[in-house]
Amino acid sequence: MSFQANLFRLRGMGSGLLLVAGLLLMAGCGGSPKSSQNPIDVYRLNGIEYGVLDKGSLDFSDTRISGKGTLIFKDPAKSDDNNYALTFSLEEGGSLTLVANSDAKLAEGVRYTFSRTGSRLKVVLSAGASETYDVSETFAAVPASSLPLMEIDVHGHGHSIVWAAGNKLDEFAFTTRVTGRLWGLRLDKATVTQAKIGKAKEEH
Amino acid sequence: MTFSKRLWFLALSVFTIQAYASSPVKVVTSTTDLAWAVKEIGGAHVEVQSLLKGTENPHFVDAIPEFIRLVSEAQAVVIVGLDLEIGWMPKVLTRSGNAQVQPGGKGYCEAGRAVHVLEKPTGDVDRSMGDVHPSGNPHFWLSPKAFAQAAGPIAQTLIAVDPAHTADYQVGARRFTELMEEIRKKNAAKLHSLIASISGPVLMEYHKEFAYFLETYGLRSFGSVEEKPGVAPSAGRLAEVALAAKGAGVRFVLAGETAPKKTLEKFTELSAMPVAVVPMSVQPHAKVKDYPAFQEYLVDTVAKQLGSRTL
Amino acid sequence: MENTRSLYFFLFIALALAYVSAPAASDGSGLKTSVGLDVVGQAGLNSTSGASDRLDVREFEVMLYAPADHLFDGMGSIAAHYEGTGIPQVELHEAYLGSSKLIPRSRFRAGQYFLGIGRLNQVHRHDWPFISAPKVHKEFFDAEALLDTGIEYSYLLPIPHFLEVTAGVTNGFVYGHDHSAGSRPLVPTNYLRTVTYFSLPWDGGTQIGLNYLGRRGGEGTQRTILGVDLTAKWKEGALLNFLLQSEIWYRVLTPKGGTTQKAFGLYLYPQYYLGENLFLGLRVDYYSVLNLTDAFGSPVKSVELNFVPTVTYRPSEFSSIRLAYNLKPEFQGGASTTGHHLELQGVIVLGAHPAHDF
Repeated sequence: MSFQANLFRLRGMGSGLLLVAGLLLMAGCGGSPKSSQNPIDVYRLNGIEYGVLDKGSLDFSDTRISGKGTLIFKDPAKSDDNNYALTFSLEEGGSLTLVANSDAKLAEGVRYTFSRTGSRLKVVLSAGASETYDVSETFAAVPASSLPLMEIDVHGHGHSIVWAAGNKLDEFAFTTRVTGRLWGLRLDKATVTQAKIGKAKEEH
Repeated sequence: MTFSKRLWFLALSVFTIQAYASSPVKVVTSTTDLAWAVKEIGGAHVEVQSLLKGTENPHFVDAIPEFIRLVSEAQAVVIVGLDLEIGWMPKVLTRSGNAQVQPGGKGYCEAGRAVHVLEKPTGDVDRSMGDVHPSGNPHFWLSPKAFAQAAGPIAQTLIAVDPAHTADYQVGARRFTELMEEIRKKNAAKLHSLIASISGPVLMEYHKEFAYFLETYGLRSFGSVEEKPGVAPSAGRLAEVALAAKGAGVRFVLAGETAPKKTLEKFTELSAMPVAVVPMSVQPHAKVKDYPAFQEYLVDTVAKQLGSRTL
Repeated sequence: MENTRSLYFFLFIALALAYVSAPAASDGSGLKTSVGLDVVGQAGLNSTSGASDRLDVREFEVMLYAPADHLFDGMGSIAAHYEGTGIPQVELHEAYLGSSKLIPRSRFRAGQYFLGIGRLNQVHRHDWPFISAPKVHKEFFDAEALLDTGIEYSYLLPIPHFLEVTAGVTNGFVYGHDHSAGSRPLVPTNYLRTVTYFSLPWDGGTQIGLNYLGRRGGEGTQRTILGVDLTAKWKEGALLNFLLQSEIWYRVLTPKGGTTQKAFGLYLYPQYYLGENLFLGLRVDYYSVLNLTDAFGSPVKSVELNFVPTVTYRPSEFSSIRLAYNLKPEFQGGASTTGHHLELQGVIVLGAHPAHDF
């Protein structure tokens, strides 16, 4: 952004104080503006709305999603730091990728990819275009054939924490700063029965 | 260069040098009392500005940006020292970016370093004792005898910054010392007959800030209303000290203008003893517009409380 | 185990420094030591409070400063704190050399420091007039303050009015709260602040700052932050009769090839002296991501508010006890949640007299 553009914004900020009262008044107004025409099919998983970016061979119901495809949850996260609670299972050779802090195409953000080979669970954490870390060792004790509840904190400032069956496994740091608020899942021979987003379990 | 051009150049140079040489030295002081003293000593050779107005409590001032700007343009800074301005002056000096007036610079003057300090604590000192000044009582300007001792460092600093007028500053310092002695004698005469017949303490202080004034004029203090310096006295303390003071024959309490009014009213209610509230510094735009008037006011206030009319 | 060893090492160093600094200061070196202790507890009052429900030593900070010689000064601080996890973290806060004697009307510092931007970012957290960071400060900078290594220069303009300009550039390998060593940025963190001061009626005064910060991270994210900070005070002797403090910030984050995020936030904090060393304040926070959309491209209104009435008992400038109630309504889309929690804080300052900054 040019210096002139910044200066212009600085002058604009001079009337920021006047905006305060107006914004605060607007704060209490409930309800979002009417949605624009929605080209993506909308489904629900346990009451949480999502759309399908790549239908593939996905099979849907109100309580499960299985097969192969990509879906994106409708409502953006309320913060850059969130906790994702996932209950899912993988077939042999299957995988599930959680995409967090992302955009409408799930192209950016932080990704956790869980894949199964026999009884082994491979987990890869990646961020942005080029950061990739194999964190499988952290999940060595997690049985790939019967995965427990996985809870994952993703903090936009470059920090992630993982729990399995309520037990904290480890914390990871990554360099890429992520700014998106959308999240979704990519499935391949996987079944998801729960996918919830909430406040980060640990805020630091 | 032609002859006429050389002449113009010479005239301009002489004019510029003369103008620069005769510019008054810009001095900034922390208090109005020091500003008055610097003006007495420096005369026409100084232009003085006090950061404070004389109504503030110099312990608790903030490093206001306007102070920083004034100090940035000064050739000399004169402060009381003895940790009186420890909370704000170091910050002001650092942020001014003016090397000459920072500690160690030729324009930096701590007037209190030449004063014979009273009430310097012995033994360990810590904050459980209240707001104790480990270097001793800094309120020396309340006594003309002690204030006279500040003339030396002030003159030395002016000489260091403006050596061309050394003789004038030395004369100014001598005159200042003589003036302080005149003030002391005149005011001591006012009080002498009033206190000669009184044995025991005649007054109490709200906060222990009048030590130099009391010592100069031979006034005895019963102590302070505050149990610990800088800590507001509890109701129990007020009652206890009111009773003790009455029993000792104390006539009144002397308090600075920044003392908490409600506490003073409460004390009067408990002790039936009057409280005389006085300015603690020269206030150029008020009744104590210079140091002689300020000293006269203090002494007349004490005299009035002791039962005499203003002389 | 590693953190416990670090903590013991830190405590040993801190105690050793405190032990030697008193006699050292009397040797003419001018070394001053100051310690700040900040204890904070949070108690959630409902399930969406987000409170930690624990009491922690939020910070134990040891600060040392002294002139090095006739030209340079040095300052260093190390801090031990718990980040809500029960595990102590020890870190170097500030360590820099500087001078206000080399260039007229100027001062500079080089090293690691809290960046000279905004109001809260330049004040140690235990000296804040409230307990926790406003939302906008936490989001745009850090829960404490933006810290980095670089060089900063301030110049006081030679005009008959206080106007100071500060410019700085820091490494930018990390930004704010970062758990990694970071990576080389494409454009290091750079910032500019202009500050002025006006006297106000009834012995008051106000300081107003205009701020700019920019950085392009190694991954290509461009960050631009603009803001205004205002502090107004009315004092009578030692008493701060009335304080008004506010910061208004606007941020644009543009990831390389990604979606730009625009956010706006502010806080407003008036505080009044009640008497008997008691102060009452009410902080109002506002934060909004301005261009938030859902997965289908529809705009989503997102607003976070926080109302924080705060009572402070301050018997001297060296200690305070504070109680605050946080009411946090959040609105996003058509949904709203409200969290409530209480905070309690105790602060003491030991050692050298702290400066009375405006």
